[in-house]
Amino acid sequence: MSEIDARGLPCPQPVIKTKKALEEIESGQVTVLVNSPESCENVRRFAQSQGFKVVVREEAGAFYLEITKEVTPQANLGEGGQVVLITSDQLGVGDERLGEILMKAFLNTLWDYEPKPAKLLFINNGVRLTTEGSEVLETLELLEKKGVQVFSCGTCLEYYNLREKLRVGLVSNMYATVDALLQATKVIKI
Amino acid sequence: MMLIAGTIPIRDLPLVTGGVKGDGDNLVIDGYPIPCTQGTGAMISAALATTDYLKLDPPQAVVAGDIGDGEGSRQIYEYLIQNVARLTPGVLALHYCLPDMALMRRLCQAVRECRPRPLMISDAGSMYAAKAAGLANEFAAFTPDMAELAFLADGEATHPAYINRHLFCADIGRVPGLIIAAYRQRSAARLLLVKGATDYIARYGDILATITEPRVPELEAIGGTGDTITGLLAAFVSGGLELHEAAIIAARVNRTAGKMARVTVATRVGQIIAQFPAVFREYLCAWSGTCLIKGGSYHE
Repeated sequence: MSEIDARGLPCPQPVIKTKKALEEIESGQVTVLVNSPESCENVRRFAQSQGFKVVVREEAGAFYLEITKEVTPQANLGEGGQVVLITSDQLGVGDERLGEILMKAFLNTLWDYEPKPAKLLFINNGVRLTTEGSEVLETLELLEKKGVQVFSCGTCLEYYNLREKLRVGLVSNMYATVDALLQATKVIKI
Repeated sequence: MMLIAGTIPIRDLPLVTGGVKGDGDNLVIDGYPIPCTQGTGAMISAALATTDYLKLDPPQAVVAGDIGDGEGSRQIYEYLIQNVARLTPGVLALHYCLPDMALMRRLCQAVRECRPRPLMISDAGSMYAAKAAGLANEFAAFTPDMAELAFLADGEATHPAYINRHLFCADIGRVPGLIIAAYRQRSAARLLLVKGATDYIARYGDILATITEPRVPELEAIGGTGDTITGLLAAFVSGGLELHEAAIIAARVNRTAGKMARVTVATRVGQIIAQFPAVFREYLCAWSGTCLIKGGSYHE
């Protein structure tokens, strides 16, 4: 359990500190201490808007907000969750460099978006995104840290001679790919 | 901790490092008065005003005098290369240093070895060096004006003075195209905040926001008003805002402070920075998008 003392901090600091603390834990409790009704209300509404339970108690002019984070909404989306199947290192058809820029923007936006998908499956040319030289390795690592599973097609890595250059996620086979697609709540093909 | 580095156009100013304090119209770093008229000084002043308001630790700074011979710039680069791993700033914001590609490569190598890795923001000369050395993707944000964006978009130019293809195309309507071109050349940081009559915030080539209000055209004629945006951005990121949110708010704060200061072309940048606390008090809560009420009334 972590505690944040946000007494005296101006808006939006109490909410930002609360948000950061909640992002750092998978589940558990964060207690936030503030000393103004406005800050108390802002933190309470923020936490509730994210689906967390909040208990507020007032003691000697200070407000203690006990925020409980349970399993992420993504885990409740069904057995397989949402799966994004990425079949190319570019997004859309047209200029190659524009396609690369769009794919980069897509993955970075995915990192910002909630809830995140359960799995990213990279097949065919898509495995170039998970291997050495890719411009999105950092983003994929951040997604992994947020609980998104990253899989690259083993056959594709072999075909492109990239197996030794895999830098993020795990190698999958076709059985695991089919299983992920058929167990998914929703599949989005890119 | 936020670390800001850049040169100051004072002939005999040695390499100065340490925490920043305000003293009237000046900044004080390790006992040395630094004017906040423009450039690095304006950027640090804007960051200090922001950290003061947010009750964050004041910025740390590394500055040196440089009147164009590059000596102060080299001292700053060498200091950072030797010390960045020890200092491990959360945010490293670079302003004007002579664009030296070899030193920039060594600095980026030193930053790569930091754990945790600092988030790098760059403006002016350090941005030119990063682009020319092919290191733009090491940076979280660049904050160019339109002419500098044209430089980023020109794959062959190694300095804004040598812009080729885009020199005569840099009108406001071309900014979205130049942004795409800069990303296509791999000359842009992850986020671009393009400062001008319209401020553009783009991430990985995707324009997230354009800021046009309030319209204060006089701001463009006042030295240092672009530098303040970079200082605001660095401070907001250091305070925990997401990079793109910080960029949008930084652009809004600068414009609104200009309006509140009723700027004319004779206004000094310090008079605009002096309005920051009032802007923060009035708007920051709502603009941050994280707070739902302020003073008992509900925001959208």
